[in-house]
Amino acid sequence: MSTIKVDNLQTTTGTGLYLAKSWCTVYQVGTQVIRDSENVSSITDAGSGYTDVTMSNAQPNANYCISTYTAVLGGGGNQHHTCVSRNFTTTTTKYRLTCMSNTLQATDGLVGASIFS
Amino acid sequence: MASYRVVYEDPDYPEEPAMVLIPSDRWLSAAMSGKLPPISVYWELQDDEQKAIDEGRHDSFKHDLSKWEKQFTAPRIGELTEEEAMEYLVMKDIPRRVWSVEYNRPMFKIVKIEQVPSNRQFRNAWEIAQ
Repeated sequence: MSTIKVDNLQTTTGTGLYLAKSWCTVYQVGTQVIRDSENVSSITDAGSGYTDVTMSNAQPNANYCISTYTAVLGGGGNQHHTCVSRNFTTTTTKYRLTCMSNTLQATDGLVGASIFS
Repeated sequence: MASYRVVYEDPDYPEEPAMVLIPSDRWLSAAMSGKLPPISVYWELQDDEQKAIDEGRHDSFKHDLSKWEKQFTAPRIGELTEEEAMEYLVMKDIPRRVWSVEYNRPMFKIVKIEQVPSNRQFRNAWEIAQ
């Protein structure tokens, strides 16, 4: 397998292309498990609805963008959403995902995140 | 697939339940294939960032580029067994205060997957069994 090393990517018209620096999907129900990931060394089950994600390699600074997603579990009555916890110090390697129910209670779900920097 | 988990409690947050660290299969595979840099590369970055947090300048903090690049350029340490990889992961991903200080009881344990409960009804009350 070959590796392409390049500092930046552009379209033919000069528009920048920005790739995710890290991503993961996590199933929190039962024993938490990483469904798939890239540039993630571990997750930490930190309680119901909480997952700390640690990247394999640090980002240059901690002001990166975290794009989250949540899958709906169990039909229409269980609308969840995922946010990044503000009461947790996001570092260049670690951030905390919180899956919230429609009543704003931390609850287990299927969550994911992508990092752009 | 990883056979182990790490259960730990953070002495700085005694009100939080026990944490369970789950390794990434991709990372574990890289570790067992000898693709990791020395752990000191990550510690150096963590030290710089912690200093910025302590001094209240984390919002504008940027890693020193030469130290940051060592993640990719430092000589690799060679193949690890799964047990060695778990010990490396403890030192990389768990706060240093958890594993580098001696307390009057163990603050972390590396356990087999089957030792971690799958029933999460009382998840927020989990503690490490002594």
